[in-house]
Amino acid sequence: MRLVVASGKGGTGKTLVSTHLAWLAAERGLDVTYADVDVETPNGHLFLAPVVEREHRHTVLLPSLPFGHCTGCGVCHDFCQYNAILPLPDSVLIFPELCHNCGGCVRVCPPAVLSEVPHEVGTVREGRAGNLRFLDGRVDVGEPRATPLIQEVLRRIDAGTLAVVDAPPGTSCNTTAALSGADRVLLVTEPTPFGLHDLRLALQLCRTAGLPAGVVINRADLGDDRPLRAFLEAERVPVRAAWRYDPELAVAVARGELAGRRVPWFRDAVEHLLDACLAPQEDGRS
Amino acid sequence: MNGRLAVPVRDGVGLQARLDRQLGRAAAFVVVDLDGSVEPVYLINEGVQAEQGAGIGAAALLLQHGVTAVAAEHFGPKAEQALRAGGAALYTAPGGLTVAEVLERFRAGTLVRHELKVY
Repeated sequence: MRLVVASGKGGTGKTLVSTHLAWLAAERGLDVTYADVDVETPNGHLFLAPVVEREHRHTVLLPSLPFGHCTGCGVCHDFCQYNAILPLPDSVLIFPELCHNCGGCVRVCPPAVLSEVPHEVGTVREGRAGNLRFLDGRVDVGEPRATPLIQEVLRRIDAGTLAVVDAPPGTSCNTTAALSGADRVLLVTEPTPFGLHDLRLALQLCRTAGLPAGVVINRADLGDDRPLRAFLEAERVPVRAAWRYDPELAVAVARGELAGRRVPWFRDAVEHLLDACLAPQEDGRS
Repeated sequence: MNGRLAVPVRDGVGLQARLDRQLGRAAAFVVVDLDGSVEPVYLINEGVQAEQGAGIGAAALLLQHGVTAVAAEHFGPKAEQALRAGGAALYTAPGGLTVAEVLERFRAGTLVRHELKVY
């Protein structure tokens, strides 16, 4: 089962929730993988302190015209949906930052003079934190292509095991890529106008993708939770967990520690959340 | 005078159309043959809805039509790179002008040449 922890708004507690779910599932003896696909700011490793066993530089393929002989026919340009290739009289100008690596231009090139060259986009790490299998991706600074790296991290999850995916915030391509293949989604929010606003967007994304989503309300006693509760009730979105703000949690997070190790009530709260996530769903989906 | 001048336009038709602020996402382009041997062409910019790279799409369209000079209010970095690669000369034209006015200034040599920016 793949459980994706997403949020809409950043800083609501995705990593807090996902690292704890994965850690406690491993403590129960389950075969579980924590996969951090918040590839622009992957920081789950700070809490789980994994032993990294393998590092892999991930590449995508970009078109190139290595030996010339271009006839300037423009077929590649007509094929490209992203305007990443400009035909000139006897060559092409390639805009790599616009390329989505489909390889189409190379395949349609009539004189077959375009070819693909690998381009590094980031690093995938695999390791272990105790019984927990650890995966994360880190996109290179300045690299606009994060989705291929996210897909590569997700590809390394073993089928049939439990996976907890730490998604990037927002509702863009990166979040959409992180949600792909999810069996269930937890949206972490907070009772602030910002939390609610971005939760609406994230929920819309989940519904568009046909994914069942539940909500976790972090710091539930800060701000006014009435608009949030009213929204969730009206939209019939289940609240899987809600917990109060506790300075002890903030202290643990600031130290890069798993808060559940030092705050017993929080560990219990996440145990209950894990039960809820592993239980069969109301709508009959497994 | 040889060559073809392209101007991104927003509303109006023919030489009375007005300069569009944008190049890649201009509504259309008017391409004028400078020695007058061919009637001006009005090109709808299909790339206005492009998800990305509208400037490159526009450059490809203009180069396809044999454009040798482009006058616009503003050039995006990719459109500029694409047009220069295609050998077009770039000129900055003040907003609000009609194609006829741009053409007049171009012929009079009072349009400012858009210099290559070094980023």
